[in-house]
Amino acid sequence: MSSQSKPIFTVKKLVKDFPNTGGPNSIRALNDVSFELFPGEAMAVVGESGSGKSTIARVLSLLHPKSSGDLVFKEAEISGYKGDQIKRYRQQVQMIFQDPYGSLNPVHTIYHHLARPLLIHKKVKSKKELPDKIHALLEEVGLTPAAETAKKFPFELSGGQRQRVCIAKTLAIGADVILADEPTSALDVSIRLGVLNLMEKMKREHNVAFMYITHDLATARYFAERTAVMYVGHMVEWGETEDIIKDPQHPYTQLLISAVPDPLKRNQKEDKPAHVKNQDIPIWTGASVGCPFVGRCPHEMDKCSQSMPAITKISEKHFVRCFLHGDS
Amino acid sequence: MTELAKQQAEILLDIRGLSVEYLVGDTRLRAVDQVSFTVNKGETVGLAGESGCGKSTLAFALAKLHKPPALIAEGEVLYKGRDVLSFDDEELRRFRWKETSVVFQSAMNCLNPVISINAQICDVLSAHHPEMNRGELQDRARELLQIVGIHPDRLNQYPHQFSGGMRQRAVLAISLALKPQLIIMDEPTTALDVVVEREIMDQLSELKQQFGFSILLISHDLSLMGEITDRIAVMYAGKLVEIAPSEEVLFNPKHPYTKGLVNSFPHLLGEKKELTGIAGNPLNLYSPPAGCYFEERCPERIWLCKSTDPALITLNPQHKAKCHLLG
Amino acid sequence: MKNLLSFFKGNTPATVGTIIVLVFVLLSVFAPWITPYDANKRVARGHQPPSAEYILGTTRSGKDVLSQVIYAGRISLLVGFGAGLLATIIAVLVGITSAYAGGKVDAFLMFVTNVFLVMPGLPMIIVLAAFLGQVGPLSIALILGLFGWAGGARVLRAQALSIREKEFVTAAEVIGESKWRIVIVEMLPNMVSLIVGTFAGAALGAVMGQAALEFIGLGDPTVISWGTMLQWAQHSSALIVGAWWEAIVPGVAIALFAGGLTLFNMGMDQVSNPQLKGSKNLKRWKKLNDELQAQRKAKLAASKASISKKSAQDGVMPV
Repeated sequence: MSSQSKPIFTVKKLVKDFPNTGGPNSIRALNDVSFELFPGEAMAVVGESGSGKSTIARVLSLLHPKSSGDLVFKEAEISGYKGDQIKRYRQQVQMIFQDPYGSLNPVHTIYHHLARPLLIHKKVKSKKELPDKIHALLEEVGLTPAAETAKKFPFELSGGQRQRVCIAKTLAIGADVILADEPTSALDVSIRLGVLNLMEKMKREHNVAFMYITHDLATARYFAERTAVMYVGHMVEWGETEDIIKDPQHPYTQLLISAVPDPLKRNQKEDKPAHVKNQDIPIWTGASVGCPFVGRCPHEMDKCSQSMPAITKISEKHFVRCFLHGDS
Repeated sequence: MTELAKQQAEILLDIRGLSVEYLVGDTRLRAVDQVSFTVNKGETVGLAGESGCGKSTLAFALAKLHKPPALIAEGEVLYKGRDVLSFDDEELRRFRWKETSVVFQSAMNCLNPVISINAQICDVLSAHHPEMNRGELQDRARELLQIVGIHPDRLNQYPHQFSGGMRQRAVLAISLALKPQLIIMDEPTTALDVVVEREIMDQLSELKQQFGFSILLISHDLSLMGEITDRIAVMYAGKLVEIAPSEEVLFNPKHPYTKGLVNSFPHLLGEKKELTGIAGNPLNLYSPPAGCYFEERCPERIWLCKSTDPALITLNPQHKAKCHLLG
Repeated sequence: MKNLLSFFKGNTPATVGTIIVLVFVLLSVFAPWITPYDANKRVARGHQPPSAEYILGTTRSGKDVLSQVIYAGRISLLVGFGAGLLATIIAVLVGITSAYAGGKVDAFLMFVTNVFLVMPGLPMIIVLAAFLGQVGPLSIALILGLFGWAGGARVLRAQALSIREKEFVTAAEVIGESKWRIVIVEMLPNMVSLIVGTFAGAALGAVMGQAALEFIGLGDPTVISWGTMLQWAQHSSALIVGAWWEAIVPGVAIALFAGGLTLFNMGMDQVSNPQLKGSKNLKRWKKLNDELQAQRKAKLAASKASISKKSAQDGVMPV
């Protein structure tokens, strides 16, 4: 199900460098990343550690400045924002973090956590309206009885409940875009689906655009219509999630899919895609050349270490960056 | 030997009615309640459950590694017929690592950062084989690294020079050093990326084929267990709720919790459908209910469940589940 | 309130320390009603040993030691707490600003802190006080406060840095909280236990520092404090002539009060590191554990005995 509407967020050729304290070149955490977010739709950013997926969220939420590229939200470039502009931006673009135990301040009640965003962004006309609004929010995310939950402190809630409070916060602000950075990775398995289903509800009922960062392809398939696969700061393959999973084109995507445990694989002695094992994930710098998957790729050719493959269109919405599918 | 004796001869680890409590103030919290199951020779058994179910507590108790405020309240852990929990210090020392080794969660962080990998492996070897000389120790260490897929030239490097996956392999090498018959692994790959996890699990399977040891794999990842285990035991709030061959647990679970857990893993392949996980919250062990511990969250509960704790019902010799609906 | 009570439960150092400090505070507050005599008036002959009439004896000039030590407590406590408060406020401001602002501000503030840390504290204070002549308690409090903040600033900065990295601070930034609110409402409450500990430590240092300054004669001799009491005892050669009570009593008062503050500080440590707590719990655990082990061994011995017995009956060797 892809959206016919206009993108709400457009990222073009985003590059993010971090200064390298141990060497001359800076570390390039993101290289030439481009994608769009549509209202009412989720895009998954899938990758392992070092892929740069969390960095995208931090750059998009203005926590880190970009190094180069275009970040266009509602047709305005966001990197020059200051003061009030940042506040208005924050009203529309929110973040959900991975660690439910760290993202709530242990000394404040749930009431405080929900009251602050309502007050900062003037969602209520007076403090008297707060209790009703807060209880309504808690009920919407399934934390009932709402009045009791509001009085509690974070340590009295389970991981899943805390994550629901974080989602309630974004609802309180009324964000149009939510950047969810591994929102369920730290939760118990049986709780994850509840949170994912809640996010799905927000997608459908409030038309929120989601960027869903995860290392788990299976939940990406469950929740996101489109997926981008990242490796060492590069987008190597992107398109509709079903296409990518059923017909992966990039050797890294194929590797990722074969690595995911699935009980259905139990009796199939399937051919595991070969890859060069035990290689450390490289660190990309501004001076690095070639395809980042060099060194682990079983189909490596000479030109792979010489230049970055161009973007090849596999089908209407399916793209890949690999010399196996097209020349630069 | 009779058929029964033959069967019994194959049992390596026999856990009988093990209960572990935590002493908190004046209260004794039951973290593990009367858990019984066996691990046979050459078998891989999975122990599945979520946080707070007691599986890690169980893992520690099996090698008598539990620390205060944990107490072993009752039960036996029979290793080749003898109760580990009543071993004295010397017997424990010989048991640990030579018969059974344990790989803990984030074991890669258990490597001493200021000692080389070589020294750490040789430490373990020389502690149990004081007769080996330095040359022999180093040779064995190199052999071990090769077995787990680390280039033996890296023998003298330090843990920080290894990536997370390699450190986990190094820990695996150390755990194999004395050729144990049983390896207990508590969430061995949770902190690792999926590709590295796959490499390590494949390696483990190869090693198992080669050396024939048994594995007790403790994890929340049912999908992973589904691929490599022979049998799976499921724990909830300290109790064993179901135990059966892996295929039964995954494709034909009988206990409502197991069903819920199996349905909490979205599939990568196959049909895409809406899943719900399990509603409700984990149990508060401070005030356990009189009846079934899962009753509060169970979609299939009946009137009996609130008042009476179900017994572990044997559906067939291989498949047991703790639920009134099966009685 | 519940949090407060749970702080004391099982925490012996905190409880004892707090009681001691509270006793001193109460004595100081109610001094005019408790003291039997006017602390400034000569009420008896000099150097009377402790008796029913003068419980702690009299000084060289015939003043009641008990009344003096209680009144002196007022000044010593005031200076101690006052200087402690001043030092803590500076430490909090410097530490948190340094941690939150980072960059050049952090570098500058840390440089200043390090300078103050490196300065030899007491000699510096002595020089300053000597320069200013005989200074009253207020000036002493000021000097001690202005020199006693550096250590606390370092510690508070470290904790503020670690809190700043926590996700709830990032979350607060992302929802649009102002920087001031983040520091005061989000970060500060998480540092309360450390700040209280810093205050106790600073007050402790101030009490000792004040006593030291006055003892060597830099305090105002017309003001009765524990330090000046010690100084007079020194002047009147109290110990040499055998009037030990004039010297020992203020010394014990200082030691007890300092001890109370130290115990309280130890108690605060337990809050941040609960593993230090509850040796009582450990004893209970040990007892239970030993019982269970004994039961297990007994069962094992019994089963071994029955196997041997059975084997003997069957005429078979036991396994």
